[in-house]
Amino acid sequence: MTQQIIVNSRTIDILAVLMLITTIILIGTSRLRTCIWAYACRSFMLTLASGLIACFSGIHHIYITTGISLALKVIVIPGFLFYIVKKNNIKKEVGSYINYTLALILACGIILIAYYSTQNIIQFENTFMRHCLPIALSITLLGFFIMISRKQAITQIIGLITMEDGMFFAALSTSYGMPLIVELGLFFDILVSVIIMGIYVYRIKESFDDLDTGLLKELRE
Amino acid sequence: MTAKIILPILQILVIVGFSPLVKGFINKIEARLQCRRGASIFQPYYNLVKLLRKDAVVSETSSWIFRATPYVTFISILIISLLVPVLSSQVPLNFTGDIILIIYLFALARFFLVLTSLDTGSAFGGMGGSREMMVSSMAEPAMILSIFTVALTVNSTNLSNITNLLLNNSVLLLNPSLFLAFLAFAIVLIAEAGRIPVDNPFTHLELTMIHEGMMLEFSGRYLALVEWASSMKLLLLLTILVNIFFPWGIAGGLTFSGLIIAFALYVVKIGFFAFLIVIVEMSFAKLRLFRIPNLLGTAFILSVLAIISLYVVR
Repeated sequence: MTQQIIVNSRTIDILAVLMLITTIILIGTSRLRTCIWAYACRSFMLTLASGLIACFSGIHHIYITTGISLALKVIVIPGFLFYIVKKNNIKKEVGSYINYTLALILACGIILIAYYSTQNIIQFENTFMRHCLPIALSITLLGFFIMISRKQAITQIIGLITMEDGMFFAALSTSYGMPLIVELGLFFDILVSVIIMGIYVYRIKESFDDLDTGLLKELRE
Repeated sequence: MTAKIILPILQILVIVGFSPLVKGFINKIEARLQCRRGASIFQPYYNLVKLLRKDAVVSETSSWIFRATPYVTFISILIISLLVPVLSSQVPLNFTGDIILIIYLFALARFFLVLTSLDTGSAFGGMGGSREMMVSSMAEPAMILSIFTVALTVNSTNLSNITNLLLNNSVLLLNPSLFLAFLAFAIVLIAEAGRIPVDNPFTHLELTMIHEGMMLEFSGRYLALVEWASSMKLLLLLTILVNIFFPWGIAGGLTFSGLIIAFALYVVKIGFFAFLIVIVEMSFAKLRLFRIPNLLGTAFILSVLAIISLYVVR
């Protein structure tokens, strides 16, 4: 029985590590399409992890969130992002304020910080899923990092939804998810914000003929 | 007593004998996937036989290092093949060294190759040597850290102990840190073996070559030894990967039936990973030289994360 629990929690841990790796790929790549693919892959891992948690814990409402996140995060949002890329005819590589090797090293530092700052909590945790909380925290921080280090609007959107993924995973792994109504609200928020930002991307492209958000500075006077 | 004699012979037979076959297998599958017929699986053997028959031409300006290098390279790789558990988790040279010795023997072989590439004074050789050093300076830390992650999980740097413990205690393998270490090691394997995203093993006389650049001056039996050593290196790295991270099926003792099963599973596992290498080679273009730090940096970061997460979560 305990053996079974260990195997279950280790499986979820490995899925968490896979999510972390796709996030690292997201930071290390300069191609927009690869970024969106990496995001879709990570969402799929997240969905799989939440499905497994629902299965292992036997809490039914997690199945509902799993279903919604499958539809929304794996299909709708990446599809929408691909649609924006195609419609705006974006071919340029994603710009970044720092080079990619340095970004990877900084990302490594962020993950280490996440591990060390959660060290005291996870030692006393009852569950066996010990990698989940530090990884959820580091995905949140890495999302923030993507938002401030990248120039292009679409990668910044991906940074934002990466942060949301991290929070969702943190809630899921530590307390088996938030109440269903909160989750539904969150999903709706994410969907609406991505769509609104998609429209903004279109407007930025219209006005500046580029997606570099640094150009928005020109709006001052 | 007989076991002590049979095991080293068996290991040398497998590693030395089958390494050209693995290379041939990879080339053949790759050719088939590119809709070419490709050379026969046994082509590397024909090449070796032909090269061994030919005379070796040695540059007049080269020193003794040039003549020593093929032997040093071949023998150091040969010693590694006795230090790695191949079919049985017992290792013939168990008493003399562990995983650290293996890493240093790889480094020794590489060091002599680079020296030779500088020795003859050809421009291609020097360039290949400096590139090889650049790649290895980034690949080696990642390799060491990822192997140490495994060593820390089972508290032993002895490959025989590592394989034994992981074999008897499979839950240990379901460790996220080991998973990270596995990925880091897989990237390093491609870099160390000089396969496509890092180095193209098929190019000659191009400005992009790394490993081939160092071997340009060799001919005849010297070239045969160096090429054989490089294919053995590929098989050895695959063996380490397979037997550490997927040790199932490896024989614990030295029974006949155990060894047969171990051999069958070994062939399957090596074939699978060779196939994965082909898939990677098919789906990626060779990276520009200055993009390589990016890839190897990822491997390094994965291995650092592996070792840190092991410590923190333990």
